[in-house]
Amino acid sequence: MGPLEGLAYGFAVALTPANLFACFLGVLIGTIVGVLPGIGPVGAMALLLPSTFTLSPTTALIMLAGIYYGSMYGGSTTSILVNVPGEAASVVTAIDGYQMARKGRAGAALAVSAVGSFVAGSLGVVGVMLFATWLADAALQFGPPEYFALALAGLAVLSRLTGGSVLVAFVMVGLGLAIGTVGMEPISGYRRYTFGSVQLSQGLELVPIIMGLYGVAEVLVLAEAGLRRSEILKVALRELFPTREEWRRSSWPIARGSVVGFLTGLVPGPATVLATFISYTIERRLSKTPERFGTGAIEGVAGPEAANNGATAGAMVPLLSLGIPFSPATAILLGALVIHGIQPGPLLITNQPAVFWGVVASMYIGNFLLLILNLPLVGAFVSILRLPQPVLSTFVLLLCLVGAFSLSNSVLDLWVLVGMGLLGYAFRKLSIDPAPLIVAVVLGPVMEKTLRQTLFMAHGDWRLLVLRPLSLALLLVGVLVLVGPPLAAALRRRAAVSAPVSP
Amino acid sequence: MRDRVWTLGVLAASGAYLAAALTFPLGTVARPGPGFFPVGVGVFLCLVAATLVVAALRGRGVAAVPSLEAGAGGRVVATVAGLVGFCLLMPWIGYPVCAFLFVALLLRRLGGAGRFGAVITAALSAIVSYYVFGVVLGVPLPSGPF
Repeated sequence: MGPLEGLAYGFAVALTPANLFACFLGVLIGTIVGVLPGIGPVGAMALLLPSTFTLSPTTALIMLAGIYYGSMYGGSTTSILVNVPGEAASVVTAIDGYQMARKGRAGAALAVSAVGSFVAGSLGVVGVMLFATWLADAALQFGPPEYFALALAGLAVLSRLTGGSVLVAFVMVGLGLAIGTVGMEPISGYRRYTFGSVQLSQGLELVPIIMGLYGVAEVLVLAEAGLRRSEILKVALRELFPTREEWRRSSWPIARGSVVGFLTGLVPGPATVLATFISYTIERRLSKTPERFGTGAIEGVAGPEAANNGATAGAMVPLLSLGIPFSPATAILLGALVIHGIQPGPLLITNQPAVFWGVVASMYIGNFLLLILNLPLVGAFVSILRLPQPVLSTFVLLLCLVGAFSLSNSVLDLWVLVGMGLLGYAFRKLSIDPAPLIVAVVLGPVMEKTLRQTLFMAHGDWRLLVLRPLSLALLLVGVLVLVGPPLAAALRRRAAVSAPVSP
Repeated sequence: MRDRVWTLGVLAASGAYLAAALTFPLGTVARPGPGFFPVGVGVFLCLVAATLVVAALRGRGVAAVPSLEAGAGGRVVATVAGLVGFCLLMPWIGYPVCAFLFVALLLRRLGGAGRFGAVITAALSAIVSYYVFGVVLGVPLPSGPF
């Protein structure tokens, strides 16, 4: 099936009433989640995953993906109107967006942000269509050594890009891999770290881990902060039209942000956040008046907002074509595929065309729905912020508890949720990002299986990993990303020391 | 000081994980057993944790120093107590009563509602969530002795 034929088929799938409603519900929940500081898209997706068990796999994935990219739209609203980013990916938007709002240009900032998100989202979907099918074809040549090298390189890149100390990120990766080894070992059925518990032999569920690390931890942070109210700037519908000059200034940043975002999304790491910072830096560098940045430059809103939406589309490529998630959000989407009995990997497009093309087409529809939802209804979404934070936090916790229990009707999942919540709270207090842990929990079993298959294949000769060109290339990428920056810094320091000092 | 505490904690946990991994059948490099990968992970964790401990002992900050606002600890403890209480009590007293107590306690402690408001909200939350998850979605939530 070619891309156009596939897309036509995808629209036929996505436009069925059930899938259209799932898409609407997904983007609506995503927008609300994006507006609310506290529960993010990852927590919300984990929370709603159990409720998709009764849906078809395509419908479930359409809804969960809608939450993911929908949250990027909602996140900008609070950044602009309240100076409180709903998501980490909207932090940059607050810099110039809030300043624009204070100057009475909130409507223009919101409109440019929504249109930029729409353009980037739509362009990103074209990228998913082209890249994912091409990558899936290429990945059919992958054997166990390549998959192991890809997962290892992915974790290495993620550790480097997460921010903060690489060693701390390594600890997160190690903890994630360790959690992934709990339960019955897949080849011989040997029980590891189960302490005699039958429930533990099934391994630890991903959803309570994510809900705990993100949902519960966030509520604990909010509980610590206490009841706080923000001043919400008002915006009238007639103010939603940017001037011709504002459109002119925004068009190229939106185009650049879309491309930067999509490409960043392909790379393991906190793509949506990184993309916004990269886009903001690029726009500031390219601007003839960089001094306007920070005082309400519309380019500082347009570029990053396009970038974070482009990144959500880019992040779908490795998931849909390789079956490998490089972020917590795509890890949940992978979990949804597995729970619904679908084998992720390069054969997904061939074996499950309804899932792949249905999700791709739903992203077009979802982006259009988000544009309609986010402009006229901006006032309604912002009014959600008037809900008292403690009420919201309590409901989030109750939903986490019921959601975790409903996975396998086990109290063990509740304890995992609480334990991970405490761990996540400690991470937040230490400013440690748990994303590498989540991705390692998912990739750990894949790595173990492919490593053991590689060693079986090579009769114990580990050099097979470096003798196959593709796995060698992937491993080199990982090593370069890890070693490159400190090596370059050391060389610069050495050059600076040895440079002659002018009298 | 805090850096030392948490890095030593990670090192101890990594050591315990590795010690347990060493009790699993290791196999050979040609035929790796169930202990092969966990031992690798354990060694990796111990090495990274040991490096962090050394860095912390030398006084290099490895993570941000956590701080707690005055009076904030009580709200966090109450939330955690509510969660732990929920896990402990739900199998015995059932979901509806447990959810009611949980919501009422947190709303009062976090300052979201007055006494009457908390009771009404808690009752509504317990009934609605039990109906949605237990009845509509078919989750076998324990109903308790009532």
